[in-house]
Amino acid sequence: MLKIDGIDVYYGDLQALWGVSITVKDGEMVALVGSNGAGKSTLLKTISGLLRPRRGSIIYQGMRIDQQDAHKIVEAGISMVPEGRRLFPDMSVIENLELGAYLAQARQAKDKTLRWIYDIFPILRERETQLARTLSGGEQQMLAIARALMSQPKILLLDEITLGLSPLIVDNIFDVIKQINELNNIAIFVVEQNVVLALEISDTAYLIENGRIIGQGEAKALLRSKEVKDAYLGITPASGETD
Amino acid sequence: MDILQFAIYGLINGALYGMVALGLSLAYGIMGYLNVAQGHLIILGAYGSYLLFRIWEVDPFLSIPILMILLFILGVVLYMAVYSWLLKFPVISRLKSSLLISFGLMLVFENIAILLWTADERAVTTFYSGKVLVLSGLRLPYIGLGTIALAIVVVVALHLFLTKTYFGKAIRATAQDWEASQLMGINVARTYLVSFALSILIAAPAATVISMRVISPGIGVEWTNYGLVLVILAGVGNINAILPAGLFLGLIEAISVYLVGAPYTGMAGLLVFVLVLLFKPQGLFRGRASL
Repeated sequence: MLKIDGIDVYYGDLQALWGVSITVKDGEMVALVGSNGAGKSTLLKTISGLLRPRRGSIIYQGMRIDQQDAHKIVEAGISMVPEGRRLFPDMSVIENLELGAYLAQARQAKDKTLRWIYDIFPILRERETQLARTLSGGEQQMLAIARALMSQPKILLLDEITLGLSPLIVDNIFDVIKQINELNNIAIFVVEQNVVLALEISDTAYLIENGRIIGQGEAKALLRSKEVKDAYLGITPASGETD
Repeated sequence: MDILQFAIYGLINGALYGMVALGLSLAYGIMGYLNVAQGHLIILGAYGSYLLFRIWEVDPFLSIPILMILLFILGVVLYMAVYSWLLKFPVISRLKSSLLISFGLMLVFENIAILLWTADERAVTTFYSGKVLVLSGLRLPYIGLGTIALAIVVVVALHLFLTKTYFGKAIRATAQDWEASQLMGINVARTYLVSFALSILIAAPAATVISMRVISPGIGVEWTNYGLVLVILAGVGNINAILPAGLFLGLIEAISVYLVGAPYTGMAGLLVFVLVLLFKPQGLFRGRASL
Protein backbone atom coordinates (compact mmCIF):
# COMPACT_ATOMS: atom_id res chain seq x y z
CA MET A 1 0.00 0.00 0.00
CA LEU A 2 2.75 2.42 1.04
CA LYS A 3 6.29 1.69 -0.04
CA ILE A 4 9.13 3.96 0.96
CA ASP A 5 12.26 3.05 -0.95
CA GLY A 6 15.72 4.27 -0.01
CA ILE A 7 14.95 7.91 0.73
CA ASP A 8 17.54 10.50 1.73
CA VAL A 9 16.14 13.64 3.34
CA TYR A 10 18.01 16.84 4.12
CA TYR A 11 17.37 19.99 6.13
CA GLY A 12 19.34 22.39 3.98
CA ASP A 13 22.77 20.73 3.78
CA LEU A 14 22.21 18.59 6.83
CA GLN A 15 21.25 15.03 6.05
CA ALA A 16 18.58 13.65 8.40
CA LEU A 17 17.60 10.35 6.75
CA TRP A 18 19.89 7.88 4.99
CA GLY A 19 18.40 5.34 2.59
CA VAL A 20 15.30 4.65 4.63
CA SER A 21 12.98 1.94 3.32
CA ILE A 22 9.69 1.00 4.95
CA THR A 23 6.58 -0.84 3.79
CA VAL A 24 3.08 -0.51 5.20
CA LYS A 25 0.57 -3.09 3.97
CA ASP A 26 -3.19 -2.72 3.72
CA GLY A 27 -4.79 -2.48 7.17
CA GLU A 28 -1.50 -3.13 8.91
CA MET A 29 -0.25 -1.43 12.05
CA VAL A 30 3.42 -0.52 11.76
CA ALA A 31 5.60 1.09 14.40
CA LEU A 32 8.76 3.10 13.95
CA VAL A 33 10.66 3.38 17.19
CA GLY A 34 13.85 5.12 18.08
CA SER A 35 15.29 7.72 20.35
CA ASN A 36 15.06 11.45 20.39
CA GLY A 37 16.38 13.01 17.18
CA ALA A 38 16.69 9.72 15.29
CA GLY A 39 14.68 11.06 12.35
CA LYS A 40 11.23 9.71 13.11
CA SER A 41 9.33 12.96 12.70
CA THR A 42 11.39 13.79 9.62
CA LEU A 43 10.20 10.58 8.00
CA LEU A 44 6.54 11.32 8.73
CA LYS A 45 6.86 14.88 7.44
CA THR A 46 8.38 13.49 4.26
CA ILE A 47 5.56 11.00 3.74
CA SER A 48 2.93 13.71 4.26
CA GLY A 49 4.65 16.05 1.81
CA LEU A 50 5.92 18.72 4.19
CA LEU A 51 9.49 17.71 3.29
CA ARG A 52 10.82 16.28 0.02
CA PRO A 53 13.36 13.49 -0.27
CA ARG A 54 16.46 14.21 -2.33
CA ARG A 55 16.85 10.57 -3.33
CA GLY A 56 14.61 7.51 -3.30
CA SER A 57 10.89 7.22 -3.83
CA ILE A 58 7.60 6.93 -1.97
CA ILE A 59 4.95 4.88 -3.75
CA TYR A 60 1.39 4.86 -2.51
CA GLN A 61 -1.17 2.60 -4.21
CA GLY A 62 1.03 2.42 -7.29
CA MET A 63 1.45 6.19 -7.49
CA ARG A 64 4.61 8.18 -6.78
CA ILE A 65 3.83 10.76 -4.13
CA ASP A 66 7.26 11.97 -3.01
CA GLN A 67 7.15 15.17 -5.06
CA GLN A 68 3.47 15.92 -4.45
CA ASP A 69 2.19 18.87 -2.42
CA ALA A 70 1.00 18.06 1.09
CA HIS A 71 -2.65 18.81 0.33
CA LYS A 72 -2.60 16.36 -2.59
CA ILE A 73 -1.28 13.62 -0.34
CA VAL A 74 -4.20 14.09 2.07
CA GLU A 75 -6.50 13.81 -0.91
CA ALA A 76 -4.86 10.49 -1.84
CA GLY A 77 -5.80 9.08 1.58
CA ILE A 78 -2.81 9.66 3.87
CA SER A 79 -3.62 11.66 6.99
CA MET A 80 -1.21 12.72 9.71
CA VAL A 81 -1.53 13.63 13.37
CA PRO A 82 1.50 15.89 13.70
CA GLU A 83 3.78 16.05 16.69
CA GLY A 84 2.50 18.58 19.23
CA ARG A 85 -1.04 18.09 17.85
CA ARG A 86 -1.03 21.37 15.91
CA LEU A 87 -4.73 22.07 16.47
CA PHE A 88 -6.19 25.39 15.38
CA PRO A 89 -6.17 26.88 18.88
CA ASP A 90 -8.60 29.75 18.35
CA MET A 91 -11.21 27.64 16.62
CA SER A 92 -13.86 25.49 18.26
CA VAL A 93 -13.76 21.70 18.44
CA ILE A 94 -16.38 21.38 15.73
CA GLU A 95 -14.53 23.84 13.46
CA ASN A 96 -11.34 21.84 13.85
CA LEU A 97 -13.25 18.71 12.88
CA GLU A 98 -14.89 20.44 9.92
CA LEU A 99 -11.46 21.46 8.65
CA GLY A 100 -10.39 17.83 8.90
CA ALA A 101 -13.12 17.14 6.35
CA TYR A 102 -12.09 20.04 4.10
CA LEU A 103 -11.67 18.06 0.89
CA ALA A 104 -14.71 17.58 -1.34
CA GLN A 105 -15.16 13.86 -0.82
CA ALA A 106 -14.73 14.01 2.94
CA ARG A 107 -17.03 17.04 3.10
CA GLN A 108 -19.86 15.11 1.50
CA ALA A 109 -19.57 12.38 4.11
CA LYS A 110 -18.96 14.86 6.94
CA ASP A 111 -22.09 14.19 9.01
CA LYS A 112 -21.65 10.45 8.86
CA THR A 113 -17.96 10.62 9.77
CA LEU A 114 -18.79 13.01 12.60
CA ARG A 115 -21.28 10.55 14.13
CA TRP A 116 -18.61 7.86 13.97
CA ILE A 117 -16.02 10.20 15.58
CA TYR A 118 -18.43 11.09 18.38
CA ASP A 119 -19.00 7.38 19.04
CA ILE A 120 -15.25 6.88 19.43
CA PHE A 121 -14.61 10.07 21.40
CA PRO A 122 -17.88 11.03 23.16
CA ILE A 123 -16.08 13.76 25.11
CA LEU A 124 -15.60 15.75 21.89
CA ARG A 125 -19.35 16.00 21.44
CA GLU A 126 -19.61 17.58 24.90
CA ARG A 127 -16.81 20.00 24.06
CA GLU A 128 -18.15 20.79 20.58
CA THR A 129 -18.33 24.58 20.93
CA GLN A 130 -15.27 25.03 23.15
CA LEU A 131 -12.11 26.56 21.70
CA ALA A 132 -9.45 23.93 21.04
CA ARG A 133 -6.89 25.65 23.25
CA THR A 134 -9.14 25.35 26.29
CA LEU A 135 -9.18 21.53 26.15
CA SER A 136 -7.04 19.35 28.42
CA GLY A 137 -3.97 17.66 26.95
CA GLY A 138 -5.71 14.32 26.52
CA GLU A 139 -8.76 15.92 24.94
CA GLN A 140 -6.55 17.89 22.57
CA GLN A 141 -4.84 14.68 21.48
CA MET A 142 -8.21 13.02 20.90
CA LEU A 143 -9.28 16.01 18.84
CA ALA A 144 -6.06 15.85 16.80
CA ILE A 145 -6.69 12.17 16.02
CA ALA A 146 -10.36 12.80 15.32
CA ARG A 147 -9.51 15.69 12.99
CA ALA A 148 -7.13 13.46 11.04
CA LEU A 149 -9.84 10.79 10.76
CA MET A 150 -12.35 13.29 9.36
CA SER A 151 -10.57 13.13 6.00
CA GLN A 152 -11.45 9.40 5.80
CA PRO A 153 -7.86 8.25 5.40
CA LYS A 154 -6.68 4.81 4.35
CA ILE A 155 -3.44 5.35 6.27
CA LEU A 156 -3.14 7.28 9.50
CA LEU A 157 0.30 8.59 10.47
CA LEU A 158 0.72 9.22 14.21
CA ASP A 159 3.65 11.31 15.41
CA GLU A 160 4.41 10.94 19.13
CA ILE A 161 0.81 11.03 20.20
CA THR A 162 1.58 9.92 23.75
CA LEU A 163 4.01 12.73 24.53
CA GLY A 164 3.10 14.54 27.75
CA LEU A 165 0.00 12.48 28.49
CA SER A 166 -0.72 10.48 31.66
CA PRO A 167 -0.32 6.68 31.40
CA LEU A 168 -4.05 6.15 31.83
CA ILE A 169 -4.91 8.41 28.89
CA VAL A 170 -2.13 6.85 26.82
CA ASP A 171 -3.67 3.39 27.30
CA ASN A 172 -7.08 4.76 26.48
CA ILE A 173 -5.89 6.42 23.28
CA PHE A 174 -3.98 3.36 22.10
CA ASP A 175 -7.05 1.19 22.69
CA VAL A 176 -8.94 3.49 20.37
CA ILE A 177 -6.16 3.42 17.78
CA LYS A 178 -6.12 -0.37 17.82
CA GLN A 179 -9.89 -0.40 17.44
CA ILE A 180 -9.77 1.98 14.49
CA ASN A 181 -7.13 -0.19 12.90
CA GLU A 182 -9.03 -3.46 13.33
CA LEU A 183 -12.65 -2.42 12.89
CA ASN A 184 -12.22 0.17 10.17
CA ASN A 185 -9.29 -1.40 8.37
CA ILE A 186 -7.30 1.82 8.44
CA ALA A 187 -3.56 1.20 8.24
CA ILE A 188 -1.63 2.88 11.02
CA PHE A 189 1.97 4.04 10.95
CA VAL A 190 2.94 5.03 14.44
CA VAL A 191 6.11 6.82 15.47
CA GLU A 192 6.89 6.50 19.15
CA GLN A 193 9.44 7.03 21.86
CA ASN A 194 7.30 4.82 24.05
CA VAL A 195 8.94 1.71 22.62
CA VAL A 196 7.24 -1.02 24.64
CA LEU A 197 3.76 0.26 24.09
CA ALA A 198 4.29 0.78 20.36
CA LEU A 199 5.78 -2.68 19.87
CA GLU A 200 3.09 -4.38 21.92
CA ILE A 201 0.21 -3.21 19.77
CA SER A 202 1.82 -3.16 16.31
CA ASP A 203 2.11 -5.91 13.72
CA THR A 204 5.52 -5.02 12.33
CA ALA A 205 8.12 -2.55 13.47
CA TYR A 206 11.26 -0.74 12.41
CA LEU A 207 14.08 0.57 14.57
CA ILE A 208 15.65 3.85 13.56
CA GLU A 209 18.88 5.37 14.80
CA ASN A 210 20.77 8.41 13.52
CA GLY A 211 18.59 8.53 10.43
CA ARG A 212 19.11 4.90 9.43
CA ILE A 213 16.91 1.85 9.81
CA ILE A 214 18.89 -0.55 11.99
CA GLY A 215 16.35 -3.30 12.52
CA GLN A 216 12.98 -4.52 11.38
CA GLY A 217 10.61 -7.43 11.82
CA GLU A 218 7.55 -8.65 13.63
CA ALA A 219 6.84 -6.20 16.44
CA LYS A 220 6.56 -8.75 19.23
CA ALA A 221 9.74 -10.50 18.15
CA LEU A 222 11.56 -7.18 18.15
CA LEU A 223 10.30 -6.51 21.64
CA ARG A 224 12.14 -9.65 22.80
CA SER A 225 15.26 -9.01 20.70
CA LYS A 226 18.57 -8.20 22.31
CA GLU A 227 19.14 -4.93 20.46
CA VAL A 228 15.84 -3.48 21.63
CA LYS A 229 16.35 -4.69 25.18
CA ASP A 230 19.83 -3.22 25.29
CA ALA A 231 18.99 0.04 23.64
CA TYR A 232 15.60 0.94 25.02
CA LEU A 233 14.21 -1.17 27.80
CA GLY A 234 14.85 -0.32 31.39
CA ILE A 235 15.68 3.19 30.30
CA THR A 236 12.97 5.80 30.63
CA PRO A 237 12.59 7.48 27.28
CA ALA A 238 13.53 11.13 27.44
CA SER A 239 10.51 13.37 27.22
CA GLY A 240 10.13 16.53 25.22
CA GLU A 241 11.50 15.41 21.88
CA THR A 242 11.87 18.29 19.53
CA ASP A 243 13.24 16.86 16.30
CA MET B 1 -21.26 74.09 18.87
CA ASP B 2 -22.38 70.97 20.61
CA ILE B 3 -19.79 68.32 21.45
CA LEU B 4 -22.27 65.72 20.17
CA GLN B 5 -21.95 67.21 16.72
CA PHE B 6 -18.18 66.77 16.88
CA ALA B 7 -18.64 63.22 18.09
CA ILE B 8 -20.79 62.44 15.03
CA TYR B 9 -18.11 63.72 12.66
CA GLY B 10 -15.59 61.71 14.67
CA LEU B 11 -17.61 58.52 14.28
CA ILE B 12 -17.96 59.09 10.53
CA ASN B 13 -14.20 59.54 10.18
CA GLY B 14 -13.64 56.54 12.43
CA ALA B 15 -15.83 54.31 10.26
CA LEU B 16 -13.70 55.28 7.27
CA TYR B 17 -10.47 54.62 9.21
CA GLY B 18 -11.81 51.19 10.06
CA MET B 19 -12.51 50.36 6.41
CA VAL B 20 -9.03 51.55 5.44
CA ALA B 21 -7.36 49.39 8.09
CA LEU B 22 -9.25 46.14 7.48
CA GLY B 23 -7.11 45.07 4.52
CA LEU B 24 -3.86 45.80 6.34
CA SER B 25 -4.99 43.80 9.34
CA LEU B 26 -6.15 40.90 7.15
CA ALA B 27 -2.93 40.60 5.16
CA TYR B 28 -0.82 40.86 8.29
CA GLY B 29 -2.97 38.53 10.36
CA ILE B 30 -3.23 35.82 7.72
CA MET B 31 0.12 35.89 5.95
CA GLY B 32 2.41 38.08 8.03
CA TYR B 33 2.61 40.56 5.14
CA LEU B 34 2.68 44.22 6.09
CA ASN B 35 1.51 45.91 2.94
CA VAL B 36 2.28 49.60 3.45
CA ALA B 37 1.19 50.28 -0.12
CA GLN B 38 -2.41 49.68 1.02
CA GLY B 39 -3.10 53.44 1.19
CA HIS B 40 -1.82 53.90 -2.35
CA LEU B 41 -3.94 51.02 -3.59
CA ILE B 42 -6.93 52.68 -1.97
CA ILE B 43 -6.07 55.93 -3.75
CA LEU B 44 -5.88 54.03 -7.06
CA GLY B 45 -9.34 52.70 -6.25
CA ALA B 46 -10.49 56.24 -5.47
CA TYR B 47 -9.27 57.38 -8.89
CA GLY B 48 -11.25 54.50 -10.32
CA SER B 49 -14.36 55.80 -8.59
CA TYR B 50 -13.57 59.32 -9.85
CA LEU B 51 -13.17 58.16 -13.46
CA LEU B 52 -16.32 56.04 -13.35
CA PHE B 53 -18.21 59.09 -12.12
CA ARG B 54 -16.60 61.48 -14.61
CA ILE B 55 -16.93 59.34 -17.71
CA TRP B 56 -20.07 57.28 -17.17
CA GLU B 57 -21.64 59.22 -14.30
CA VAL B 58 -21.70 56.14 -12.12
CA ASP B 59 -22.78 57.05 -8.60
CA PRO B 60 -19.79 56.43 -6.26
CA PHE B 61 -21.77 54.10 -4.00
CA LEU B 62 -22.83 52.05 -7.03
CA SER B 63 -19.26 51.88 -8.33
CA ILE B 64 -18.17 49.84 -5.27
CA PRO B 65 -18.87 46.42 -6.84
CA ILE B 66 -16.96 47.43 -9.99
CA LEU B 67 -14.04 48.65 -7.87
CA MET B 68 -14.09 45.41 -5.90
CA ILE B 69 -13.63 43.41 -9.08
CA LEU B 70 -10.85 45.70 -10.34
CA LEU B 71 -9.05 45.68 -6.99
CA PHE B 72 -9.41 41.91 -6.75
CA ILE B 73 -7.70 41.53 -10.13
CA LEU B 74 -5.00 44.00 -9.09
CA GLY B 75 -4.50 42.04 -5.87
CA VAL B 76 -4.13 38.75 -7.73
CA VAL B 77 -1.63 40.25 -10.16
CA LEU B 78 0.38 41.91 -7.38
CA TYR B 79 0.44 38.75 -5.31
CA MET B 80 1.59 36.58 -8.17
CA ALA B 81 4.14 39.12 -9.36
CA VAL B 82 5.82 40.08 -6.09
CA TYR B 83 4.32 38.61 -2.92
CA SER B 84 4.08 34.90 -3.69
CA TRP B 85 7.89 34.60 -3.57
CA LEU B 86 7.90 35.31 0.16
CA LEU B 87 5.88 32.20 0.99
CA LYS B 88 8.88 29.99 1.60
CA PHE B 89 10.36 32.30 4.22
CA PRO B 90 9.59 32.14 7.94
CA VAL B 91 6.91 34.58 9.05
CA ILE B 92 9.34 37.14 10.49
CA SER B 93 11.22 37.44 7.19
CA ARG B 94 7.93 37.74 5.36
CA LEU B 95 7.23 40.84 7.44
CA LYS B 96 10.55 42.50 6.59
CA SER B 97 10.51 41.55 2.92
CA SER B 98 6.89 42.59 2.42
CA LEU B 99 7.69 45.97 3.99
CA LEU B 100 10.50 46.52 1.49
CA ILE B 101 8.38 45.38 -1.43
CA SER B 102 5.43 47.53 -0.50
CA PHE B 103 7.65 50.58 0.05
CA GLY B 104 8.78 50.11 -3.53
CA LEU B 105 5.20 49.72 -4.70
CA MET B 106 4.27 52.96 -2.94
CA LEU B 107 6.76 54.86 -5.11
CA VAL B 108 5.58 53.10 -8.26
CA PHE B 109 1.88 53.72 -7.63
CA GLU B 110 2.39 57.33 -6.62
CA ASN B 111 4.31 58.13 -9.77
CA ILE B 112 1.90 56.25 -12.00
CA ALA B 113 -0.90 58.32 -10.48
CA ILE B 114 1.00 61.56 -11.10
CA LEU B 115 1.67 60.55 -14.72
CA LEU B 116 -1.91 59.56 -15.40
CA TRP B 117 -3.84 62.17 -13.46
CA THR B 118 -1.29 64.90 -12.48
CA ALA B 119 -0.72 65.97 -8.90
CA ASP B 120 -3.91 68.08 -8.77
CA GLU B 121 -6.42 67.42 -6.05
CA ARG B 122 -9.70 65.99 -7.25
CA ALA B 123 -12.98 64.90 -5.76
CA VAL B 124 -16.27 63.40 -6.82
CA THR B 125 -19.11 65.86 -6.28
CA THR B 126 -22.53 64.28 -6.39
CA PHE B 127 -25.92 65.94 -6.01
CA TYR B 128 -26.01 64.84 -2.37
CA SER B 129 -22.47 65.99 -1.53
CA GLY B 130 -22.57 68.42 1.38
CA LYS B 131 -26.27 67.76 2.02
CA VAL B 132 -27.21 66.97 5.58
CA LEU B 133 -30.07 65.41 7.46
CA VAL B 134 -31.00 67.54 10.45
CA LEU B 135 -32.15 65.50 13.39
CA SER B 136 -33.06 67.33 16.64
CA GLY B 137 -30.47 69.98 15.96
CA LEU B 138 -27.71 67.56 14.88
CA ARG B 139 -26.40 67.68 11.33
CA LEU B 140 -25.90 64.25 9.77
CA PRO B 141 -24.23 64.37 6.33
CA TYR B 142 -25.74 61.85 3.91
CA ILE B 143 -22.30 60.69 2.78
CA GLY B 144 -21.32 60.26 6.41
CA LEU B 145 -24.36 58.13 7.12
CA GLY B 146 -23.50 56.10 4.03
CA THR B 147 -19.94 55.70 5.31
CA ILE B 148 -21.08 54.28 8.63
CA ALA B 149 -23.57 51.97 6.94
CA LEU B 150 -20.87 50.74 4.54
CA ALA B 151 -18.45 50.09 7.37
CA ILE B 152 -21.02 48.01 9.22
CA VAL B 153 -21.94 46.03 6.09
CA VAL B 154 -18.28 45.36 5.26
CA VAL B 155 -17.38 44.22 8.77
CA VAL B 156 -20.45 41.99 9.14
CA ALA B 157 -19.96 40.48 5.67
CA LEU B 158 -16.29 39.76 6.37
CA HIS B 159 -17.14 38.22 9.73
CA LEU B 160 -19.78 35.95 8.19
CA PHE B 161 -17.42 34.96 5.38
CA LEU B 162 -14.62 34.04 7.80
CA THR B 163 -16.78 32.17 10.31
CA LYS B 164 -19.57 30.59 8.26
CA THR B 165 -18.07 29.51 4.95
CA TYR B 166 -15.70 26.61 4.46
CA PHE B 167 -13.22 28.76 2.58
CA GLY B 168 -13.33 31.42 5.31
CA LYS B 169 -12.55 28.77 7.90
CA ALA B 170 -9.66 27.57 5.76
CA ILE B 171 -8.33 31.14 5.74
CA ARG B 172 -8.51 31.33 9.55
CA ALA B 173 -6.91 27.91 9.88
CA THR B 174 -4.09 28.96 7.58
CA ALA B 175 -3.59 32.12 9.67
CA GLN B 176 -3.33 30.03 12.85
CA ASP B 177 -1.09 27.24 11.55
CA TRP B 178 -0.32 27.14 7.85
CA GLU B 179 1.62 23.89 8.06
CA ALA B 180 -1.15 22.02 9.86
CA SER B 181 -3.58 23.48 7.31
CA GLN B 182 -1.77 21.64 4.54
CA LEU B 183 -2.36 18.42 6.45
CA MET B 184 -6.11 19.16 6.25
CA GLY B 185 -5.84 19.19 2.48
CA ILE B 186 -5.98 22.98 2.28
CA ASN B 187 -4.09 24.40 -0.68
CA VAL B 188 -2.19 27.04 1.27
CA ALA B 189 -0.71 28.75 -1.79
CA ARG B 190 -4.19 29.31 -3.21
CA THR B 191 -5.59 30.37 0.15
CA TYR B 192 -2.85 33.01 0.44
CA LEU B 193 -3.55 34.26 -3.08
CA VAL B 194 -7.25 34.72 -2.38
CA SER B 195 -6.60 36.20 1.06
CA PHE B 196 -4.25 38.79 -0.36
CA ALA B 197 -6.66 39.72 -3.12
CA LEU B 198 -9.40 39.92 -0.47
CA SER B 199 -7.27 42.28 1.61
CA ILE B 200 -7.11 44.60 -1.41
CA LEU B 201 -10.70 44.36 -2.63
CA ILE B 202 -12.05 45.01 0.85
CA ALA B 203 -10.67 48.54 0.49
CA ALA B 204 -13.13 49.34 -2.33
CA PRO B 205 -15.75 51.01 -0.04
CA ALA B 206 -13.01 53.08 1.62
CA ALA B 207 -11.75 54.11 -1.83
CA THR B 208 -15.23 55.26 -2.79
CA VAL B 209 -15.71 57.33 0.34
CA ILE B 210 -12.26 58.90 -0.05
CA SER B 211 -13.04 59.79 -3.67
CA MET B 212 -15.90 61.95 -2.36
CA ARG B 213 -13.53 63.79 0.01
CA VAL B 214 -10.26 64.58 -1.72
CA ILE B 215 -7.80 62.56 -3.76
CA SER B 216 -4.29 63.30 -4.96
CA PRO B 217 -1.40 60.95 -5.73
CA GLY B 218 0.46 61.82 -2.53
CA ILE B 219 -2.16 61.13 0.13
CA GLY B 220 -1.91 57.34 0.06
CA VAL B 221 0.67 57.30 2.79
CA GLU B 222 -1.60 59.24 5.17
CA TRP B 223 -4.24 56.54 4.84
CA THR B 224 -1.67 53.82 5.35
CA ASN B 225 -0.65 55.62 8.55
CA TYR B 226 -4.22 55.57 9.82
CA GLY B 227 -4.37 51.90 8.94
CA LEU B 228 -1.18 51.08 10.83
CA VAL B 229 -2.35 53.00 13.90
CA LEU B 230 -5.58 51.00 13.92
CA VAL B 231 -3.80 47.67 13.48
CA ILE B 232 -1.87 48.46 16.68
CA LEU B 233 -4.88 49.86 18.58
CA ALA B 234 -6.97 46.81 17.70
CA GLY B 235 -4.21 44.35 18.49
CA VAL B 236 -2.35 42.71 15.64
CA GLY B 237 -4.56 40.31 13.69
CA ASN B 238 -7.66 41.17 15.68
CA ILE B 239 -10.01 41.81 12.75
CA ASN B 240 -13.12 42.14 14.91
CA ALA B 241 -11.63 45.04 16.85
CA ILE B 242 -10.66 47.11 13.80
CA LEU B 243 -13.95 48.99 13.45
CA PRO B 244 -14.28 49.70 17.20
CA ALA B 245 -10.66 50.90 17.18
CA GLY B 246 -11.44 53.14 14.19
CA LEU B 247 -14.48 54.65 15.90
CA PHE B 248 -12.39 55.17 19.06
CA LEU B 249 -9.67 56.99 17.12
CA GLY B 250 -12.26 59.09 15.30
CA LEU B 251 -13.84 60.10 18.61
CA ILE B 252 -10.47 60.98 20.18
CA GLU B 253 -9.71 63.21 17.20
CA ALA B 254 -13.12 64.84 17.37
CA ILE B 255 -12.78 65.57 21.07
CA SER B 256 -9.34 67.06 20.56
CA VAL B 257 -10.72 69.29 17.81
CA TYR B 258 -13.47 70.38 20.18
CA LEU B 259 -11.02 71.08 23.00
CA VAL B 260 -7.90 72.47 21.32
CA GLY B 261 -8.77 73.09 17.68
CA ALA B 262 -8.44 71.45 14.29
CA PRO B 263 -4.67 71.87 13.69
CA TYR B 264 -3.94 69.27 16.37
CA THR B 265 -6.17 66.50 14.97
CA GLY B 266 -3.35 64.37 13.67
CA MET B 267 -1.32 64.83 16.83
CA ALA B 268 -4.05 63.57 19.13
CA GLY B 269 -4.26 60.36 17.15
CA LEU B 270 -0.51 59.87 17.16
CA LEU B 271 -0.38 60.58 20.90
CA VAL B 272 -2.92 57.82 21.54
CA PHE B 273 -0.90 55.56 19.25
CA VAL B 274 2.32 56.16 21.20
CA LEU B 275 0.57 55.73 24.55
CA VAL B 276 -0.94 52.43 23.45
CA LEU B 277 2.43 51.20 22.17
CA LEU B 278 4.03 52.16 25.49
CA PHE B 279 1.46 50.82 27.90
CA LYS B 280 -0.73 48.33 26.06
CA PRO B 281 1.18 47.04 23.03
CA GLN B 282 -1.11 44.02 22.74
CA GLY B 283 -3.94 46.37 21.72
CA LEU B 284 -6.86 48.01 23.48
CA PHE B 285 -9.31 45.24 22.98
CA ARG B 286 -9.75 42.04 24.89
CA GLY B 287 -9.40 38.61 23.45
CA ARG B 288 -6.84 37.05 21.19
CA ALA B 289 -6.55 37.32 17.45
CA SER B 290 -9.91 36.61 15.87
CA LEU B 291 -8.41 35.08 12.77
